[in-house]
Amino acid sequence: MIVTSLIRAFHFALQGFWRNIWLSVVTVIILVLTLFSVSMVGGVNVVAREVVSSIENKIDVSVYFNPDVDQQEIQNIQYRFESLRSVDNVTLVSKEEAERRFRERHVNDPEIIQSLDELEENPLGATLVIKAKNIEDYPLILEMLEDPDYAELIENSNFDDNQVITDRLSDIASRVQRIGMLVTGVFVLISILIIFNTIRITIYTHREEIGIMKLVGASNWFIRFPFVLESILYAFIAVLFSMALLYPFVHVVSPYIATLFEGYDFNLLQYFTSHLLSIMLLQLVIAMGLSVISSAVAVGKYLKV
Amino acid sequence: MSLIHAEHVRKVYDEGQPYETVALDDISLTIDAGEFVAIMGVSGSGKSTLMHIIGCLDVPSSGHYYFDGDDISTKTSKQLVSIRRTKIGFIFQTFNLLPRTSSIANVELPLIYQGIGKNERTKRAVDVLHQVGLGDRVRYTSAQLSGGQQQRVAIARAIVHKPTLVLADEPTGNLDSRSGQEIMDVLQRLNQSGATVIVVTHDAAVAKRAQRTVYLEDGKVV
Repeated sequence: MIVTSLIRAFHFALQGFWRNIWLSVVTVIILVLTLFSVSMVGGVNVVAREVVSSIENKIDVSVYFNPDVDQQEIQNIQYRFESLRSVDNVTLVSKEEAERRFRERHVNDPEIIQSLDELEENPLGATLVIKAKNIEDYPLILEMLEDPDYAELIENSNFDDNQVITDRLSDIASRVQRIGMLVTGVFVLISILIIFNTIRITIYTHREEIGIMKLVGASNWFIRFPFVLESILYAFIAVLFSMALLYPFVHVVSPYIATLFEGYDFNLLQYFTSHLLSIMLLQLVIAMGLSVISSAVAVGKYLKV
Repeated sequence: MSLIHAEHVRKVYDEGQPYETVALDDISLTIDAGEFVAIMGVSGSGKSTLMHIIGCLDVPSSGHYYFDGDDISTKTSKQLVSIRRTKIGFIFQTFNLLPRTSSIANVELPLIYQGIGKNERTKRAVDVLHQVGLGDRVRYTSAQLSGGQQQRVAIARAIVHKPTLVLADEPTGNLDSRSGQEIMDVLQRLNQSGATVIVVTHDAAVAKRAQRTVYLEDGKVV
C-alpha cells in the first residue's frame, strides 16, 4: 500500500513538474539564486571568522625587559602571569636566546654583527611573550603591565597593531553580512512567492482531480503528498545546480582570497571541499523548507470539498 | 432500520452576515436501508445542500444528522472522509472521472484509498465494469467513451467498494433519454440487489423510477 502510494505520488509529482515545465524552470532558478546568495553570505562569514581567528591566534603581548634586569625577577613575573586564568601561556625568551635570534636575523648584515661583537655585554634584554585565552583579556594584561613596580624593569611592550586589524575586519565582515542577509532575505521572499504561485497553478490545473479524489474518499495526506513531493523535487534540482555553480565559483575566487589574506592560513577551496556534504545538506534543508512550506500552504485551500 | 435520519437539520451559509442564506430549514427525514428514494425540487430548493449533508460532504449548522446510527454533526473532517471512503458511493451529473485515465483505473480509485492490494483491486474493478456492461471497455479512457458509458464507469466506481449508500446527483442530467433510461435501469438493479439508492433530480420521469419521492421547496420538505 505505502509503496503503491509512493509510486503514484511520485508519478503525480513528475507529471506536475513536466506539465508546467517553464514555471518549474523559473522556480528552480529562483531557488538556485536564493541558495547561491545564502551560500555567499555563509562564505563571507566563514572567511571572516577564519581570518579573525587566525589573526587572534597571532596576537600576543611581547614584554621587552631592560638588559640589566635579573633573570630570576623576570621568571617571577612569568609565574605571576602564568597563574592568571585569562592567560593561555607565557614564553620566556632569555637574553641569550634573544641574542641568538638577533644574530640569525642579521646573518647577512656583517656590520651589525660586528657592532654587536664589539660590545662587551649583550645589549638585548629578555622578553616575555604573553598569550591570552581570549582577545578581550588583553586590556587587563596590559593594565597589569602598567603596574609602577614594573616601570623600571620593562623597556617596552607591543600589542596594539593586531587589535586594530581584527576590529576593522570584524567590522567589515559584519557589514558584508548585514548586506548579504538583506539580499538573501529578498531572495527568500521572492522564492516563497514564486514557489507558492507555481504550486498553486499546478494545483489549479489539478483542481478537478483533487475534488474527485476527495469525493471518493482520498485523505488529505494522499492529496497533499504529491505536491509536497513536487516541491521536494524542485529543492533537489536547485541544490544540484547551486552546487554545480558554487564549486567553480569557489575554485576561481579561492586564490584571490588566499592572496588577500596572505599569511593567515586559510584556504577557501579546501574548506569548501572538506565541508561539501554539510553545505549540500544545509542547502537542501533551506530549499526543502522553503518549497515544502509554500506548497503545503498553497494546497491547503483546495482540500476543502 | 433507518440508514439516514435527519432531525431538524438547518444549514445556513454566511451565518450572521447581512447576506446569510438559509439553504435548509428544519429538515426532518428518515430513509431506511434498501430504499430507492428520489429527492426532487427546483433549482435553489436545497437539493444539493441536502445531498452534501446526506453524503457527509458537509455538516448541518444546527440539528442532528445520523448516518448508519452515527451522529455526523459531531464528526471531524477526517472521520467524514473515512465514512465516505467506506460507506458511500457518489454519482454526479458531470461523471467526475479522472481525465486521461482508463476506466479500470478510475474504478480502482476508492479501493486504492482503502488500501486494497493490486490483484484484488483489479479483480473487483473488472467485475463491476462487467456488471454495468462495460467489460469490453476496461482500458478505454474517458475521452474514448460516450456520455452514457462514462456514467456507467462512474456507477462502477461508486459501487466497487460495496457502499451502504449510493448517492446520485442528477445522474441522467447530461445524457440523452435512451442513455438516461439505461442508467436508471442500472441504478434500479443495484437497489434490487440490496443497495440503498438516493437520486437527487429535478426530472419527474427519473423520480418516478424511485419507490418514494421527497419534495423540497425553499429548503423545506413539502
